[in-house]
Amino acid sequence: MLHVDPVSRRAVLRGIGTTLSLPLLESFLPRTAFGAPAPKPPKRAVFLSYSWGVAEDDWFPKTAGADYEMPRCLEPLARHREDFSVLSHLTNKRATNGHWGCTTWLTSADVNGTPGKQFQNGVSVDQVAARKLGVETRFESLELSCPTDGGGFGPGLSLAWSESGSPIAGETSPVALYDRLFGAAEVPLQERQYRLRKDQSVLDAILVDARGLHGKLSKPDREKIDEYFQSVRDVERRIDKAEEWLERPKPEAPFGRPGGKLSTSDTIKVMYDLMAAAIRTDTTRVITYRQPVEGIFADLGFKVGGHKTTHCPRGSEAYRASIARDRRQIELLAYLIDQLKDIKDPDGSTVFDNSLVVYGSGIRTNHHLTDTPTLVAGHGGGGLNQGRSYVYESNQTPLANLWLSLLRRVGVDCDQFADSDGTLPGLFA
Amino acid sequence: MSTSRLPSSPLCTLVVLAASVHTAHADDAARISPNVTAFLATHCARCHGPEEQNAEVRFDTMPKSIADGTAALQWQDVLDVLNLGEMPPEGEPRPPREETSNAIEALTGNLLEARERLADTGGKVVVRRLNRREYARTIDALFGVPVDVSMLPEDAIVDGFDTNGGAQGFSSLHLERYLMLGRRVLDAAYPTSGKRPKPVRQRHEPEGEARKIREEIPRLEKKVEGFDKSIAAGRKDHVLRRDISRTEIALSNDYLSRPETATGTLVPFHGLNPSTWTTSGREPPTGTYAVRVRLGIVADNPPDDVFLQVVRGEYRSKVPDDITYHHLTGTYDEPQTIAFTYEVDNLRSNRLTFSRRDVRRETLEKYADARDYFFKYRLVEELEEDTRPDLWIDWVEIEGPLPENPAPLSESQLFGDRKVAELDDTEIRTLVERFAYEAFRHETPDPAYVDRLIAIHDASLERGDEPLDALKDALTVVLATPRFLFLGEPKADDEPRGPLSEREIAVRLAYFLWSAPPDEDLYRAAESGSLRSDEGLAEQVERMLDSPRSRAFVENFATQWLELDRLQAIDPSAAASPHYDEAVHRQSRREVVAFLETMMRDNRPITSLVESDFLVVDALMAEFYGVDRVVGDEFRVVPRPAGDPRGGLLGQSAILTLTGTGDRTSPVERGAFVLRKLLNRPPPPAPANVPMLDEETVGTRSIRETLARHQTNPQCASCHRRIDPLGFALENFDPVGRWREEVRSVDGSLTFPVNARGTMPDGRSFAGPLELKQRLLEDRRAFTEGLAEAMMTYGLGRSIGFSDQETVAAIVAETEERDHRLRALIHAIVRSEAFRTR
Repeated sequence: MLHVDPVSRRAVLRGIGTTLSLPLLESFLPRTAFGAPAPKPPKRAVFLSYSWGVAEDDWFPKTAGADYEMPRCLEPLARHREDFSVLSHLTNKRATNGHWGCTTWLTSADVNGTPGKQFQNGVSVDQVAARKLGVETRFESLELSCPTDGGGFGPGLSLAWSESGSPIAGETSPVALYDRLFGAAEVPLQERQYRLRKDQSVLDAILVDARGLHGKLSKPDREKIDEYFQSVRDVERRIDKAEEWLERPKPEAPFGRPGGKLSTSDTIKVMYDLMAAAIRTDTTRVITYRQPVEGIFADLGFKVGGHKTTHCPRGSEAYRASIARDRRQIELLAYLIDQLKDIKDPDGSTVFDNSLVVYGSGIRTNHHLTDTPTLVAGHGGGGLNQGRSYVYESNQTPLANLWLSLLRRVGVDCDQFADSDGTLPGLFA
Repeated sequence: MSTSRLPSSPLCTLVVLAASVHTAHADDAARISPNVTAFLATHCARCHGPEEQNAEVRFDTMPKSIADGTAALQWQDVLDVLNLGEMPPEGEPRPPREETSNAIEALTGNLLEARERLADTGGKVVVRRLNRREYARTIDALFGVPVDVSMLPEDAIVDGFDTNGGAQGFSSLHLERYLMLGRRVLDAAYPTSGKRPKPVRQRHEPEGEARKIREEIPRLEKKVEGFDKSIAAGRKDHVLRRDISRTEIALSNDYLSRPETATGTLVPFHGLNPSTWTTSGREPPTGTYAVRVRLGIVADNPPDDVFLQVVRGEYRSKVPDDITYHHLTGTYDEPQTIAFTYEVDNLRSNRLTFSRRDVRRETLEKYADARDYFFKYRLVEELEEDTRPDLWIDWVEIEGPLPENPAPLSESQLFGDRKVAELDDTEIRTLVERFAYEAFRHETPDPAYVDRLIAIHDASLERGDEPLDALKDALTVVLATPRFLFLGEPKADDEPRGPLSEREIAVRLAYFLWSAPPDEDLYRAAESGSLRSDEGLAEQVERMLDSPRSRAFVENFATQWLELDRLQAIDPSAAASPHYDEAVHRQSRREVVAFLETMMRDNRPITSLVESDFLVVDALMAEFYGVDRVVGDEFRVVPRPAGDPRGGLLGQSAILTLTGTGDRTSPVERGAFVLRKLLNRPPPPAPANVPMLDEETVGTRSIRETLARHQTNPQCASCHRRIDPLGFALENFDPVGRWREEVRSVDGSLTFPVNARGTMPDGRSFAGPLELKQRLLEDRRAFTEGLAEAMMTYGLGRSIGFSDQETVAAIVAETEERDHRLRALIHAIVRSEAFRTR
């Protein structure tokens, strides 16, 4: 069974791993005639997660409603108070591993539920959203990640999982991400065309060998080789897109190539800068970022590790460290929101108005997988009941209900995602 | 599991089908223990039985075996409720503690078994991508050049090992990176500039250090003058600064007055630390370099615990690439020469800094960046109190790259004396074919595939690229092609399982024992048919284990099986013991690997890992353990002193440290380690959503007393009654593995005598570490099974499941017959059906 037919594929294409021209947002979006109302700006979805959970007593609001008292850990977000909500008591009910903060955060899957498999994840919500939101952009989605130092993330290479439930690798280095987004901009058009063509021949050659192997495989082997085919297809999709984008004017890289060794906090900050830049240039509309936390403790002068903070009583040094870490992460999130508020869509609204930014983790604290920390910022195109604390029924409301609501919000037509049992009342009502 | 060859009846077909969709057959399904069903019938049935079904839960009709994922989820829910103590509800009578513990323990075990049975692939090894480690070693074996695998996404670890094929994913980022790295490898292996450079010898004479110090003195004197003036004008705060500068002048003069500084350098020297360093240039040719250092201790009767520390890493880099230690016996009058080699890969720093080990590196680092004069002053004081002798370093010599045997795809092997531009079309094609054949581990590439490569080459050439670049365009593709990146022995679904070809056995062997492709000898053995016989196979295994390449196996297996990377989470500067420094931290890890290497070399019994009457130490670890008369840097076998409790893994600092935090022991982690590694009874992972003990509220008790609370709560006791006592047996070892008789309370305010008594899970008792090890030896069958399964997991690249039970039993029996010898175990695995079947 063949998955890719090299003969029928486009012959003209482009540079693997390097990137090319990115139009400025305003120049890309369809122009309207004089006086006609500007078209509805596109929606974006951003997902941010991390390992090991939060200092729960100082993270969750104590009450529901609009006039909740801002918890200590969330204070750095106070200036955005009207633009985000805290969702308490959402749970991935089928999660069972207390060391896995990110593996099923976006999939809500039962990883032990597939016979003959020790582990089988499902598709992540960002990838479903990307199929809809990514049609018009250079990258359907961007996956950012971090090394697994300190653990607590669980299996996976980023937050994203493909339709077949395979891990999608994320870019962990800001420099490599920069090059992917803005690199090779100075390469002349002819050279770019040539490179596209060459990369396509490379894929064609690879496929000749892969097909030879594929013909005589048993099912589990075939699944592995299918992953390889999928990777080829993904690169090809990018090549196809690159071709469409080949002659568009280049965007200016908004800042220089990040250099030197960055602290963990600075790494996150630069990644946020790059995310904002990718959105500003409409390079993508769906981003996931599995972010590092282990190094934040050192940045802040603490000598504890992330795992230790999950086993700490209030008042201990480790608990103080967790609060400091949470506040630093939230400070950075507030910074990202500043950036998104600063980008205008053609109709005069801001990108932030048209985005959903979900920030959370699959672990609450300790090894608790119930009632996990979840925060949603942005207005998703307008009409959300933002600026509140929502408290759902403890241990009963599937996190997948949020994912379902989010998918419907960005225009994906679906009735169920993973173990969802409905949409989420309140924020999306 | 046997498969029927010719299904002759409909029934047979049905069975084969059922197996192929991996639904566990009722007979192979994990059964719910009578313990559990009886518990539910007694304590839960009133509300969840035939009469009432509160919350629609009814136990009498629930499946009593776990044949699929749905049943597993149902029973997992039951377990969660029991673990959380949510049922029976308030007001209902509580079941007896012991019964609850037993039910939880049994059900946890049933679910783990179910999961394993449902995941059983029936012995099939899945095609797998080379992991990062194997990729790097493969590139090294083929080209003799290093490659930066940190560019590749991380590998998944399953069952503790990175070789599990089913778990290794492949995504577009992988493909892009393999193409990128492949090109870099070729650029390094076939430089445009031509042939490899000849070895160069450079000698660094560090007496130049004295000149720099002498030139500094006038500047310091000027500073003092300036401070004198400002102090006279009322700047009292400059007094301290002036005094510091004066001290520096005094120290400099002192240094220069020492005769040794005319011919070398002294490190450390009180407040001055003119540590000498050397570097072999910015981007020297990669390869192996020899380093020689001539030096001596400046003392008439030097102590026997002085070590040279060699740090590889950039100046002031917080995380050095490597640190090594060298035992010193020479003196200024009778210097010695230390020699070692290092690999230049231009991924790690080429800067070497030489200093004395027992200056705490952290201290120097702490003050190096300090702008605050007060801190600098403190540093001076700290070093002035240093009464240990200085080292005199005469010179440092670096020579390299040393000539090596050419790798099969190295420039000289691939091109000989020919230049690419001289090759005609036929020669280019032959060369591309040869390259792909070697990269594909002696599989002939498909002609249609070679056509495509040639087309890529031709297109680049036509466009005006250099011939070598055009060729590299084609060859890069090979290094991103499945047949290079994936290991595996393809088999169609309808094909019966059969023996591997000899080439395939050679490849499996090579990646098992070398993490690299076969060498010429092994390929030749495969072609000649000698791998078909048990003797031929055994001969190759012996040869491969004797080869230095088998270090990859010992090191990787030891690291992954024993979880040595957990040591990285320990910060030596925060360790409880002043004797535990960076040197011990690093060297203790090497000790574990050296222990296994020694066992491999001497073919010692695997039970040595449980208990041994010898230690494997170098001078540094010997000093840490208090073992006398060990001189020099090689790890060597030393008889265990009479009455010493060390011996085996449980006496090794690395193992005792990685199971704690460096400043505290964790009897739970140590106990779990014993269960996992030495008793083959891994405790289940800590259940999610269950609160931990609040240790800090019981500050004045010993850890043993604190953990006693695990036994009073039935949920905790279900696992911890097995785990904790095994950890208590090791409480005589402090957080870094030194012996102690007393232990402090959790808050440090009180001390208690160590109580290392306890019982095994089956009730046999012990009174300390030596007796624990005796008990473990009585259970050596379990240990042998565990080690065999771990090694099979690593070597086969798949999880070992229920369908492997017979194979494991046979391997264990064979190992036992041959005195538990380590090599016997490896031979038995390699000879097993599982290893030789596709």
